[in-house]
Amino acid sequence: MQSVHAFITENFLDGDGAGLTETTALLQTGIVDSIGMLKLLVFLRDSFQVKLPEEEVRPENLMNLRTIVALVGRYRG
Amino acid sequence: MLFNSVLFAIFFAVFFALYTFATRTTSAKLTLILIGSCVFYASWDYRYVPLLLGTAIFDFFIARAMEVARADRVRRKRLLAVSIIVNLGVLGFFKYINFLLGSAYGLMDLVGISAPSFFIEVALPVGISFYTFQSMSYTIDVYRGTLYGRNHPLGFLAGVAFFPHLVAGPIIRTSVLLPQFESFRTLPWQAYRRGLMLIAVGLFNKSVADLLSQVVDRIYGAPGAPTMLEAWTATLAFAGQVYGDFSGYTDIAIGVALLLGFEIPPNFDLPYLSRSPAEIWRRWHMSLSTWLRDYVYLPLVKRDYLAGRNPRPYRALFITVILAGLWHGATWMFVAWGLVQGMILTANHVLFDRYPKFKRKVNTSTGLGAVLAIGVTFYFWLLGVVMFRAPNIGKVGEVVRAMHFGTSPGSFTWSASLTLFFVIVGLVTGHAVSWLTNRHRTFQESIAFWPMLVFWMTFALAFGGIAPSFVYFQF
Repeated sequence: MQSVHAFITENFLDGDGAGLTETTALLQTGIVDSIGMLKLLVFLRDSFQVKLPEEEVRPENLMNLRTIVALVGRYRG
Repeated sequence: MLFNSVLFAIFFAVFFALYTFATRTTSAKLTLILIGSCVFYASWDYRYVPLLLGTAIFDFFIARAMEVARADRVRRKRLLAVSIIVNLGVLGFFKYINFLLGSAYGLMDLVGISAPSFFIEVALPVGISFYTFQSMSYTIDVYRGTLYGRNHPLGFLAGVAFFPHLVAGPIIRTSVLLPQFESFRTLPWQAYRRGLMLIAVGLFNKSVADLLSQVVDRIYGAPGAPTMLEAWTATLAFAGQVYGDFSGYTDIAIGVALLLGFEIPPNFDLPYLSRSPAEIWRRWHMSLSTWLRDYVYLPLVKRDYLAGRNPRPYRALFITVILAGLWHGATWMFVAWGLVQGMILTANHVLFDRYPKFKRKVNTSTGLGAVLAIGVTFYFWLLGVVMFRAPNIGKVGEVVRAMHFGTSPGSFTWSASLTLFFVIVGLVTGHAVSWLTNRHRTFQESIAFWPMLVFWMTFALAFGGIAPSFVYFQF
């Protein structure tokens, strides 16, 4: 959770992750946009060796920190 | 049968009475919704009712077959391909065939081959872009495993044909609507009050749009280049018209659905207060933006991602936005609009990516900084608005030139200035009432609620119905 939090803070919040909780809506609020979604997916793949099946590459899995961590938990290499 | 017509009021009154008092079971309610929706659609063009039902039934059976073949990935993929080809084929035939023929003939002319002038006479089925996308997303979701293919078609058919959103959206995900259709629930009474409010606000905003359309039509329809004042007046008026028209339609659709006990997600979120082009795309016609993100943009970048390569998001973004342009209309003008939007969005993303401090400043600044960010974003939006409204590329050039370099100071008359003033009032009013009804927490409980409702309805009765239709019906 912490490293994902740190990545989002660093890359999408200019270092200020104080208000970022595990249920903050990342896509709805525009913290992570369509380009950011890919950046995030590449980060998960490269940092945690997450190998996602095709059907799991979808926005619902990137809604908030909780769904991202759950995704990593399911597919971590 | 327009939402702001007497005919629709009668239709809905009869439908509501039957729905509330004459149907008890889920299947009776769904059957009534399906029949009512077919009647609603037939009022536009009865010949296309079989097309609407046919594509939905086809997708239902494809999804069913996918469900049966859940373990067979190859077969599921083939079934999905069939669904996409058929849906896009139908959409392509009705919406794009003459555009393709015309473009091919133009190309033949260009290389010196004598081109025929054969075109297919076909009327565009109203709302086809909306219900095709709606229906197709069901098979895609079943393929992805986020939904399971239903055994009984009634809920799905009623969901696709559901008349509040049938002809101009919002494009509601099957995953949002279908569960509501399968398990009816009673909403709290506040939801019905909100439904009434949204209908009143929608009718009001549509009336404002109709009034603004008179200014737009006069200036954009006039021969020759407009003056600077006219160009800004007409373009601001069209920005207000298209917002009032479409968000008004959406509000009525959401309100009508609420009165029937269904919740449809919002489609607009005060888009003209956005601080960047990327944000305005998130807040304008949200159901289409997210549809394109999930079903076009992501599949485009997915292949590289899954193969372990670094995806190329900007290429995918460009393709998606050009397709968004084509979705709006089968002309090269809309392709050009998509290209311009693609360039603006790419520049926006690259800028924010390279300079995160600047991004943060834009998103969090208050006062003058916020006004500047909103102003610059709106300016870029207006450039797209000109392309949306102008009848041809020549007119686009004339209007954009006039907006920036137009002179004719002699034309700065009181009546023209007054027109601009009323246009700005109309533009601001549209967002003000949307803010009041969607963002203001206590408005619904306030003493001003019922008087405002009466005012909006009276205004709509007095000034509504000037324009013959809703702008987004053509899409």
